[in-house]
Amino acid sequence: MRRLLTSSIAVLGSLRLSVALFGLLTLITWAGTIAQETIGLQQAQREYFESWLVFRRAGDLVLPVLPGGMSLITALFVNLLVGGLLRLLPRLRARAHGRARGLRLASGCGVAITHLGIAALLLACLAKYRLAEEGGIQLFEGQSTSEFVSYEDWEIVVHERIEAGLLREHLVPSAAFADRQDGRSLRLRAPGLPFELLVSDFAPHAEVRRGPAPPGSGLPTVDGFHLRPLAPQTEWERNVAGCLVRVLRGPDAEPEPGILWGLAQHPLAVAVDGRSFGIGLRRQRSPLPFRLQLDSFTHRTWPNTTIPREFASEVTLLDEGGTERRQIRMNEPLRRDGVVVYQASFGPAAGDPGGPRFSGLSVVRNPADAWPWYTLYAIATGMLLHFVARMALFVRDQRRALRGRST
Amino acid sequence: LTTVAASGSACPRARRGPVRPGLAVLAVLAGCAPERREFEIRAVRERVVQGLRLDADSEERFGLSAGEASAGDAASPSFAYALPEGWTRVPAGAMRDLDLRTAGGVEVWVAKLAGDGGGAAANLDRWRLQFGLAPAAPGAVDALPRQPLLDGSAYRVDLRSGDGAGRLVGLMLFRPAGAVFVRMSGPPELVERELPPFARFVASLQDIVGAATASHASGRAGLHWTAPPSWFSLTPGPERIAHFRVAAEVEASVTVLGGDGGGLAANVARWCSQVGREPPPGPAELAALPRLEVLGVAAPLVDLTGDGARRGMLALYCPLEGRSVFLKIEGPSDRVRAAREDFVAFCLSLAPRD
Repeated sequence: MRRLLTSSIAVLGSLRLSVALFGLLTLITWAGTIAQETIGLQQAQREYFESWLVFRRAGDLVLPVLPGGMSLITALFVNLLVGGLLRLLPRLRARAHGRARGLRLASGCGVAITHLGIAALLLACLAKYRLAEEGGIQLFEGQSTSEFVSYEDWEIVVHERIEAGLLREHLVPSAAFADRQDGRSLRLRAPGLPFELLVSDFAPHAEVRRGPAPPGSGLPTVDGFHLRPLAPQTEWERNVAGCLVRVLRGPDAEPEPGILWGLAQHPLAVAVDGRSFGIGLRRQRSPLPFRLQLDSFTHRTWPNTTIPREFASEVTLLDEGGTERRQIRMNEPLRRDGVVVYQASFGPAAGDPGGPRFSGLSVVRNPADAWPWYTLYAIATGMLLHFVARMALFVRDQRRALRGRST
Repeated sequence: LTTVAASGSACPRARRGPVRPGLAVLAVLAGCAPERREFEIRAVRERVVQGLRLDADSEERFGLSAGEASAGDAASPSFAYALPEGWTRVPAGAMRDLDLRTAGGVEVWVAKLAGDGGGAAANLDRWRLQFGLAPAAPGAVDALPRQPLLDGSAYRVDLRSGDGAGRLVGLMLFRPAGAVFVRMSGPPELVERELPPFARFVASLQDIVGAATASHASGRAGLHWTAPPSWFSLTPGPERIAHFRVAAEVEASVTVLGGDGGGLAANVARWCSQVGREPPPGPAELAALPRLEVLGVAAPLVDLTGDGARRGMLALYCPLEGRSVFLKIEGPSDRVRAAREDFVAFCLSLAPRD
């Protein structure tokens, strides 16, 4: 048993396992990149990099064909920690004395710090994957915004009118209802809301059609309209989500069905005791810690070509502390208050040749944004410690050898 | 801010601990009822939102954005027109007043809807969605080229589908008598060939029914007004009895509230905060506001377009017996200033309905 444990630990921390994992990571990176062509960026990301196993269909069978990014990164994380420990322990137990012991210990610590640094870098990736919010902003010159809109996530909003023009919004993130399909439902309630909601039949891409729902679809017809789920588009940001909702005014009241759709012009109206409510489905909006105003947008191409040479946005950031003018360029994002704003695109888009020009900015709010910097410092420190200690040991051994020869 | 408050299923005992084997077998054999989860909404935000209606019915919510189910019977056309050579009329689809096909099979239709038919931005997005394009950027509508249609100036849309297999040329006209949509779509080369006859068809189009009601004079809630001809009528709401697009990013409205509607000082303070103008004027400044004789009262006119601020507003407050009428125009300061004369004329046109 002890031998099995020892050999398992040796395998987990072995260099061979590291090489095998890097090889597999290269393989799924290649396969995932190729797959983007057919299944789109987000789906490829989900199937190859955010999964434990990559599955492929063979006839009626669905078989795992490759380990997914999650399992490979987890294995690499364990490999780094165990490997670092295995390389440090012999140095701690070494019988050398004096300066040599100190140098070997320093070398082992350097290796351990380097391993821990790389493992922390992987943790930073995990933190970004789990915690980061991503979205976009499109602004014409002179326009400003204090929120960004998710590319793929939706939210259910219950609007309540407080006074003319002022609304209170109760927000439900997509994580709560995006899997409510195939008969599964979500019951929503909120303090202060005089009704509850039952959300079901969420479709990431759907349209609303006039007329009765096709027989057998299992979907209701509401006021002469019905929801028709569509196959999701390859580029997820083009999807328009839809779902069904039932308003429950009380335990004995009959549920009132409604359709929520991403392109509906107005929310589903609900009036209770003289209070007006609206229930809508829209792309998830996240607040920015400042107001961002596009002052001007510059787009230059290389002479006699349409190849972009530079596109940049001159922006003003407004918050309680005052205003600040900044420039966002290709590969030179704006970083402030935990938010990174990249220059992502500009308009008009293809298919809209006569349309107005706008600046497209990509926004990432990542609480772990600075972690890679810290881990890189740790890795550099560990490697420096290891190399200096090894160099000192080498010089010491050389001197001893020379001394031995001379005597 | 938000958490999943409770996670449950129709087989909750399976989560709570050991269950009797017999019951477990029965549950598996019977199959679980559809899973139901519960969620308590805790994320709450307050925001100023203009134009969102909480009383719209399904027709107004989806309107033309919904796909048509099937072609219906040919309805009596509301339009007179000159049919280009080679074009034929076919039974009109749902929500369409006129459905035509060119010799090459290109689809052309005309639809007239009450109100703003969902609005320009929504209809542009709907057309873009149908052509596999992402929704238009904010403000894209304001930058669309314009083309004469009937008695107004319509937005002209020209889209090519993402895969290059289709092209759409469409017109959207918004006026007090309702919105009119004209659309031609088909393979790009055929649409290109049909552009000259399409232009002739559009020029020949006459609204037989709408012409009689195309005046900008209108009324609601016992009031009557005449809007400037250049203003587009938008869908009003329960309190906002009239709503207009004046220019790009500039909108005007008439709102009726019960009682004194919060009073002049409180409303002016709120307007100041909406356009980023602090502090609000004091009692002396409020007393010195210029006044317009509207609905029999000397109504104060609030001008928040100065001081070089980006957002601006002109507002007229008419306290009447038992209710108050607010007339507002809001948008970029320079554009609101440019529309001041029209706004004042609009205010002065307000009268009790006979």
